[in-house]
Amino acid sequence: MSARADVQPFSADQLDALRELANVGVGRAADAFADLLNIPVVLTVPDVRLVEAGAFVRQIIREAGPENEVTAVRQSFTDDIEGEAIVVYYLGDHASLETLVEWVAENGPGSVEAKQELLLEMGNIIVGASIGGFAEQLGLEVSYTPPSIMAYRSRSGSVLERSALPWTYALVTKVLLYVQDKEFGCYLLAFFPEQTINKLRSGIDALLGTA
Amino acid sequence: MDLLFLDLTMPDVSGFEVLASLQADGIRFPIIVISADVQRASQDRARALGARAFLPKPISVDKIKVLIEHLRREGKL
Repeated sequence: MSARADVQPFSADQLDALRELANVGVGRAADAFADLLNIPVVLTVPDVRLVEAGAFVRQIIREAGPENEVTAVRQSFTDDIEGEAIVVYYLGDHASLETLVEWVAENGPGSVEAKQELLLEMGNIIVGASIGGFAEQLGLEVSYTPPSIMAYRSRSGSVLERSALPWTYALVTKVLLYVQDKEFGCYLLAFFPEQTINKLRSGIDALLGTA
Repeated sequence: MDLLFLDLTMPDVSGFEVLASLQADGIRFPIIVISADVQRASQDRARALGARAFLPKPISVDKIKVLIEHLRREGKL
């Protein structure tokens, strides 16, 4: 999963700065997620690196759920920066998708469509807070396409067939937001393709005073 | 030590664990938590564990200067 040789690697300082920017965005996402769940959320330190995007998604899907059942929402963003965010719902050994959905909507929702609508809305809120918080610090504008269900209680194999991203190599940020006692939460992945990587590199250099 | 700036989200140990450990040892210096984890519950927990102040990221040097000046006036530094 190492990055392609002709994608210029980030320096340790640049990666540190990117991790901090991602951390602020993820902190806002965690706050929004906690508001939605009405319970505190734990956030991990963002993992930021250049990757082969498809292999990275496959790894996350393997990690995400019991018995390889995966539920995920994807949403593209564009404007000053572009890329794609994927929210993979995380379920521990003692949690199910119902546990999560019913925690958010106590008296339902009952139908599959209503559950998917809720998962889409959660994904949308998490992605908006995170990517918006990230871009704002660099003075960059970002807008979003509507979120879509990438997988709903799907076998990971079938998800992999639909997880193709439009680019091979990307800068990725990965973080896990979860409720400790309930064993549910989500992985938040954000992929930034090459042209956006260059904009981020310039923005980071300006912040670090090394431009 | 005069003053400690502490993040909550760290790779190997959480800021809460550090605060709890320092509290158990008897904190004798002010601790300022600087974190992107802006959840109200996290801020309350940090304060309950002895954090003197909570600065949400992103922070500015000016904010830190103001806070240090405030601690000086309170005689904490």
